[in-house]
Formats: sequence, structure tokens, C-alpha cells
Amino acid sequence: MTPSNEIEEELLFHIEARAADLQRRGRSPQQALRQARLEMGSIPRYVEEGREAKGLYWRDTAVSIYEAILRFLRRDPLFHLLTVLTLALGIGGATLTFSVAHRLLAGAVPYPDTSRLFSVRVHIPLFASLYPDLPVSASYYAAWRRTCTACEELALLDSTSLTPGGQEAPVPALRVTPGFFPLTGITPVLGRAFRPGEEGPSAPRVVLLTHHFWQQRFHGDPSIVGRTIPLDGASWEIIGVLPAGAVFPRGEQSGELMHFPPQVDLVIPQTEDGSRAGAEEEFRWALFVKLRSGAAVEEARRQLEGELQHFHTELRPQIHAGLTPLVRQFALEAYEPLLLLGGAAIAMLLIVCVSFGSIQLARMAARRRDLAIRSALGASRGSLLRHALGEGMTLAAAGALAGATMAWGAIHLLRETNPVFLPPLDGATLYLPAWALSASAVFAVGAACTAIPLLRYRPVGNRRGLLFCAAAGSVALSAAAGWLFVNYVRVRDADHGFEADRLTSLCFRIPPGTKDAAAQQQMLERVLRNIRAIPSVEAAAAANRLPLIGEARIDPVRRPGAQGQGTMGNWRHVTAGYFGAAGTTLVAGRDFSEQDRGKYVAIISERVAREQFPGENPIGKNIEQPEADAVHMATVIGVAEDVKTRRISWDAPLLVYLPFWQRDPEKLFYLVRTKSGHPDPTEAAIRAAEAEGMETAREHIFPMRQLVEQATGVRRWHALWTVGFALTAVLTACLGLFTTVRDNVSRRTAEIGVRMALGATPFHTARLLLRESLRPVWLGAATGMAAALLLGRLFTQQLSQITPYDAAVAGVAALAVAIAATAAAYLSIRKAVQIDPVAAIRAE
Amino acid sequence: MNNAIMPGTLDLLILKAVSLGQQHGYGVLLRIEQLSGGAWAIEQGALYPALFRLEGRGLIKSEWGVSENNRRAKFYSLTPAGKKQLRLEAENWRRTVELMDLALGAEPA
Repeated sequence: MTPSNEIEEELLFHIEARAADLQRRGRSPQQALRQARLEMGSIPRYVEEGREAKGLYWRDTAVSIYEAILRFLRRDPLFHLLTVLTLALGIGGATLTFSVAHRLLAGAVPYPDTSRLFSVRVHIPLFASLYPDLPVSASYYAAWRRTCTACEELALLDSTSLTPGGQEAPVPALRVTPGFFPLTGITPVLGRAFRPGEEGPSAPRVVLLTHHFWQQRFHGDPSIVGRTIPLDGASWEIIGVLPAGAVFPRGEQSGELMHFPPQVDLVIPQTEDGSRAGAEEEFRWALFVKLRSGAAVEEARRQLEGELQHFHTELRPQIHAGLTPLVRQFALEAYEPLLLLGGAAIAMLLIVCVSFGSIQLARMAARRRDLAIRSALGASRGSLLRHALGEGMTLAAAGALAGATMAWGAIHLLRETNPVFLPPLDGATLYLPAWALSASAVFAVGAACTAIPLLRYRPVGNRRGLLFCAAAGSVALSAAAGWLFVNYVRVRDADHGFEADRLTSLCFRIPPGTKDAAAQQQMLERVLRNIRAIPSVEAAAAANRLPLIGEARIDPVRRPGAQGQGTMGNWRHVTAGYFGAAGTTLVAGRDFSEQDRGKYVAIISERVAREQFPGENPIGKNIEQPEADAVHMATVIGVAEDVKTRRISWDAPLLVYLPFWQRDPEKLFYLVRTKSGHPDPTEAAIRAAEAEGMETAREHIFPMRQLVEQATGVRRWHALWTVGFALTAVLTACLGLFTTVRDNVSRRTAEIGVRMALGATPFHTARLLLRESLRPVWLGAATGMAAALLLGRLFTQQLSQITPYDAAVAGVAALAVAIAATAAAYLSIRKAVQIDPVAAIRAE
Repeated sequence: MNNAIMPGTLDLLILKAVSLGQQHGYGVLLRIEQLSGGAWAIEQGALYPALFRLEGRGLIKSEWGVSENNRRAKFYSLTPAGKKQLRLEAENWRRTVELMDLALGAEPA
């Protein structure tokens, strides 16, 4: 029994006892009962006062919410379920986005004064066709340290591996200059960090252990400092142990061309001697700087770039320094999508709030008669408000809880599966402030839209405005989602210079024992012959690099006798039949063949043809590969279509293919194309290679389709995420419209009856009602489309990952929202126009 | 004469009525009327919020039982805290009455 019922029972007992007394004094049973009731006064009032006196308010509110849920489930269950679902999607989606963004943008760089930390890279126009920027050369470090007054700390770092004591496997190590420790704020829990001067070729053999390596190998021995450890055959002194939570850059987190191991065991001093000959040509060090407090980024950049002019006599002044905030660098390719998704999440949340507000307004309007009666019976405004709020807030609370659960689940799923294009997500969890903020936005708007009509005693608010906003927002968001999705599909299905379907990459190594180059060549040819003999294989070929997995050898490409250095290009070695197997079209000339053996021949990419032989036929002309010690020359025999070698969003670089017999084929990638409808020949190919004595590198066996999926993963993720937001927005907007129209129609039941009695058909009535209800929606959709086109233009200028917008997609989005809205409105008037006119007129 | 009870005295009267023995709400009402010789009438519904308030303060306690006419009813009785409170408030009341007497009995000097 609920507490209210207990109080009521007690009062009823009182009336009964009083009536019995009165009856004993000679009143008739009816008279006695009436007098007893009169003497008691208002039962509801005393029940309520009693409840307040008992301090039962909150318990009762909980009970009434519970009852409200039961009531909801009984009445209109689908509608309420949908409302809760959209609120959950809205709150959950926003929470998920903000949590991931918080982890990747705010939490990914756990170093103090994050806003003053930058990664320094150089931009060299000569290499720009291959890389927008490059890691730095170790030779800059000493000069930069001396002259960059805007820099408080500099740290030069790269990774290596060291083999502890004898036969064990090598362990990953980081090589850093002493500045790394003050810059990152990482201080050893035992011992000391590197001292100033402990760097360069004369650095002492000292090593710091990471916490887990110390635990795992030395079982957390507290007296480890001062002992020595054999590494790569030399003896190193252990000077300290780093804390458990120390975070180092991983993967490409310091930019393209730098690969840090996923986990670090040892940290040793940077021993690179930047002053040795040729050092400035090696761009393979990461450099982090911490600016002085108050120093301008541009000032630091100018100082760094100024110093660069003392290097590379042949490059200057064409070498530039660039500073990227470490937060941005650490977030990898996810940075821009995360910013955009954050914006989309806010937009979606606003639309959900506005739609929920319109649902609440319509709900209150539909209850105006009920509220008026309750009010006339003496219910206080407070109690009416509590009841109305109780119902609406039940929906909001259910949505908020379900949203938190969904976001939590999604974050943990993302953590488990950690897609390659996202930086490590370990430690990511539900970011509670984000959830609280999203949920309170929904609560606040919902509560305001419940309370305002009550407090103004006018239960009809401006719902047209809300419908307009929801429709406009939904269209804009849907258009954005549409663009991202179309963009993703276009990029995925674009011609990247090869046919990914039915194409598998395999990798075999020639065993170290086979030193003789001729024997290696024969081995490779036998393996290819055997693989081609497998019945399900359509074609097979080998190359020292595959599309989309980076460059093999970078050297200038130029015509003999040309002025200057030429442009940096990518030189690759392939077997005959490579272009056919990869699906790379030869646009002119021919493939390599047996007759070319012993001759210097080359196949160039279209871009080389375009840039080096403008307006000429390159076939039969020569091309030069200037190396440090010699210049190789080859005759062009063919032109192949351009191939993406690294990022899909980057232009295809200059590519020159040489026949494989000009190089040692120690480790080659084999491309195998399966015949359509035939079984996967991978295992048979591995057996064929291993039968010839080759070693299989299993980590390089994957379908080429997977490579494309990975390369377009960020876009897919981004697009699908936004599509989810758009669907949520449209669904809530439709629910808001549905509730509003249903209320409008129910208020006009009598009018509809009159119309029908006068001969209007259900079709005409429906059309009339739809036209009136949908006017704000159509206006909103048109406004949303215009806004989307405007914003789209703005974003395309701002963000590199979005290709030019498409008015057609915005149109389709507006149309889709309009159709969904019409369907929602029609659903809510369908019953009204099928009503019997007489019953309808009586309804008022 | 006005036969409504003085504001603020209902709680004390309830405590007194309950102190005379376990009672249900209606019984408390009858007892108060009886104590005043029928001079005071309480607005009957108002009794209950007062009862719940006293129960909430831990001065009286209640339990469901069966009334003389075999109906389920809630019975109230005094707690030790209630006994103390009754003594204290009764003492206060007497002092107030004395002082009021004194004050109202004063003659112009």
C-alpha cells in the first residue's frame, strides 16, 4: 500500500466512526455520513498535508514516477518508447563524442603545461610531393638549443631496440635528450633522470627502466639503481626507474615517417652526433619543444627557421620550420573529425532538446482540460507542476540513464577494438561532466516547456517556432551527414591506382643463407611460377612496396641534362606482370619483359610523364636517378596510371618502376589476384613459397581491400557517426511534430466533424490539416537547407578532409526530412479523419 | 464564546490525550472534546497532519490494530520522548498562564 492510501484509509476510518456515533445519536445513516464528511473537510487536502507532515514527499514522488512509468507503458507505449530511445540516443551520442574527444584531445598528452608543448617538423618544397612535412635532422638540435630563446626545453627523440643479455629477443627503447624529462614532467620514481650533457656520441652508457620492465624483469627490486645490465653486448648502468603512468609517443603520434613502438621498456640517452657528414640529410628525429611562458608560437618558429638557413646550402631558403601543438599531433588523423563531431554532437543535442520541448508543450496543451479540472478541485499549482514534471522527467531520466549506458558500452567497445585510425584509447571511459551536461540540457528544456504553460495559466506555447527550429536543424545536420557519407563512399571507391578486390598481399623472405643474387632471383621466379600455377590464381607478381603502405626508396627524378635537382620521387622494383596483377593500367608503352634483362629500363607514372615530359611522348626517352655516389639512367618503356602510396587524401607522388632484377629481392611483397568465384589461394601460395625454402612474414598477409578500408577508416567512422546523429535528430523532430499535430487535431475534432458532415472527404480533410501543420516544418526545411549550403561552403574552406559540398545531397536531406515529417504528421491525423462526423461533433 | 482551540495548543492537547492511553485518531478527537467538557471543537481533518507531525518528531508512535467495531485502524501512543515533551510543555503552559494572569490582573498605579 502506498503511503497516500494509508492516510486516506485512516481518514475514511475516522469518517466511518464519526458517522456511527452520529447514527447512535439518532441521525439516519445517510444524514450521519454526510455530516461526518462535512466535519472532516477536504480529504485530498488533508492527505496532501499529511503527506507533507510525514515527510513523505520524496517517497511519494518516487512512487508516482513509478506509477507514471506504468501508466506510460500502458498508454501509448510505442510513442513513449521512441521518446526515451531518441533521448537516449541524443544524450548517449553526445556523451560518447565528448568522452572520446576529451580522452583524445585533453587526456592524450598527460604532460604539464600542454598548451606550451609543440612538435617541430620541417617543410621542404622539394619533398612536398611526397610529404607535406618531415621529421627533423639531428644536426639542427644543438644549434636550435643554443639560439631558440623562445624555447624553454627541447627534446630530440627516436626509437630503437636493444637486446638484453645474450640470446634474448630485442626490447623496444626510446632514445631521448635530457630535456625530455623537464619537458614531459616525467620524473623517475627511483634514481635520477639524464643530466644535462648526457647526450651525443660521448654520452655515458646509462639506462632508465620503465615501470613495467622493472617489475617484469627485476620483480620491482628497490635496490636496482646503480646495478648494470648487459645490452647489445655492452654493460649499461641502471640510473633510475620511471613511474608506472609515464606516457610516451606511440605509432605515428609525432607525425608521418616517425614510428614509435606501442610500448617502451628502456630509455637511453640520445647518442646521435648531428655534426657528422651527411647528418643533415637524414630527416628521422622527432623534436618536441616547450615554449617559455608567454612566448609567441610565431616567434619560436621564426627563430627555429632562421637557424635552418645555416644548413643545406642547396636547399635554402626553401626549408621551413612548422610547430604543431602536441595535442593535435598526438590525436593523429582524428583531430579534425573530432572537432567536427563535437560540433555535430552539440547541434544534435540542441535539436533533441528543442524537439523534446515541443513534445512537452504539446503534452501540456493536450492536458489543459484535465489540468483545469484539477485546479478547480483545489489542486495547488505546485502539485499540478509536480505531476506534470514527474511524467516528463520520467522520460528524460529514462533517456539519460539509457544514454549513459549506451555511451559507456560504446566507449568500452571502442577501447577493445581500438580502430587503427584512432590514437590509443586505453583509459578512456565515460566522461561524467559531459553526460551531466547533456542530460541537464534535456532536463532543463523539458522542465521549462512543462512549467511555462502551467505558470502562465495558458497551456499553449509557441510550438511553431520549436518545430521550425527542429526541422531546420535536422535538415542541416542531415545534409552534413550526407556529405560526409557521400565523400567517404567516393574516396573509398575512387581509383587509387589499383584494383583492391580479390587482391591479396603476401610477404616472403629469402632465407639469410642465400647470399648469391642470381640464386635469389631464380628462387623468386620459381615461387612466382608455382603460385601462378595454382588453379584459383588469376595473376601474381612481386614488388618491394605495395600501394598505400608507404615509399621504398626516395630519390630525385629528373631528365638527363635538366637544371636543378629534379623532384623527389619514389623508386620501386617490380616483377614483370606486376601492373596486370595489381590492376594498375598502363596508359602507354609496355610492361617489362624477358628481353629487357640486362638493360636499364623504367616505367614511369603519369605524374612523372606530366611533370618531366610536358607535351612530349616519354617513351624511349631517358630518366635519371641521382644517388649519392652515382647517377643511374634508364630508358622509359611505359607509363602507368598514378598510384596512391600513403594517404588517400594526398596526391599520388612521382613514381618510377624499375625491373626487379636490378635489386636484391630479399623481402618482397607478392600480390595474388584470385579468379572470380574461386576459393582463396593464400594457403596454397604459402605452401608453394615455403616449398622453395622461403620464409613467410605472416604479419604482411592481408586482403588489399582491408588496406583501403583502413585508409578510409577515419572517413567511414566520421560519416557513420554523423549519420547516427542526423537520424536521431530527425527521429526526435518527427516525434515532436507527431505530438503537436495530434494535439492540434484533437482540439479541432468538432470542426473536423462539421467539415465531414458538410461533405468533405477524409482525403481533403487530411490534406487541409497536413498543409496547416506542416507549414513551419517546410519553412524550417528550406531554411535548414540554405543554412547547410552556407555552412558547407564555410567548412570546405576551413577543413582539408571535406571535399566540395554537394547541393544535391542537401536537397535529398531536406526532402528526406520533409517526407519523414509528413509521414509523422499523417500518422497523427489518420484516425481523426476517419471518425464518424456525429461522434466528432459531440466530442466538444 | 469562541469554541475553536487556541492556535499552537493542538499539539499539546494531542500529547495529553494520547498520554491517557493508546488511541486511534477519532479516539484522540473524542478525548480532547471530552477533556474540554465539549467546549472545544477541532476541525476534524486538521487533527491528522498534527498527528503525523508529532509522529515525525518521534513524540508519538503508531501501529495498525483493530478498532472496537472490528475495523482496521491506526493507534497512537506516547513515546518516552513524548512523555518528557508533554511534561515540559505542560510546565511552560502553566507558567504562561500564571504570567498572563499577573499581567492582565495589573491595576493602574
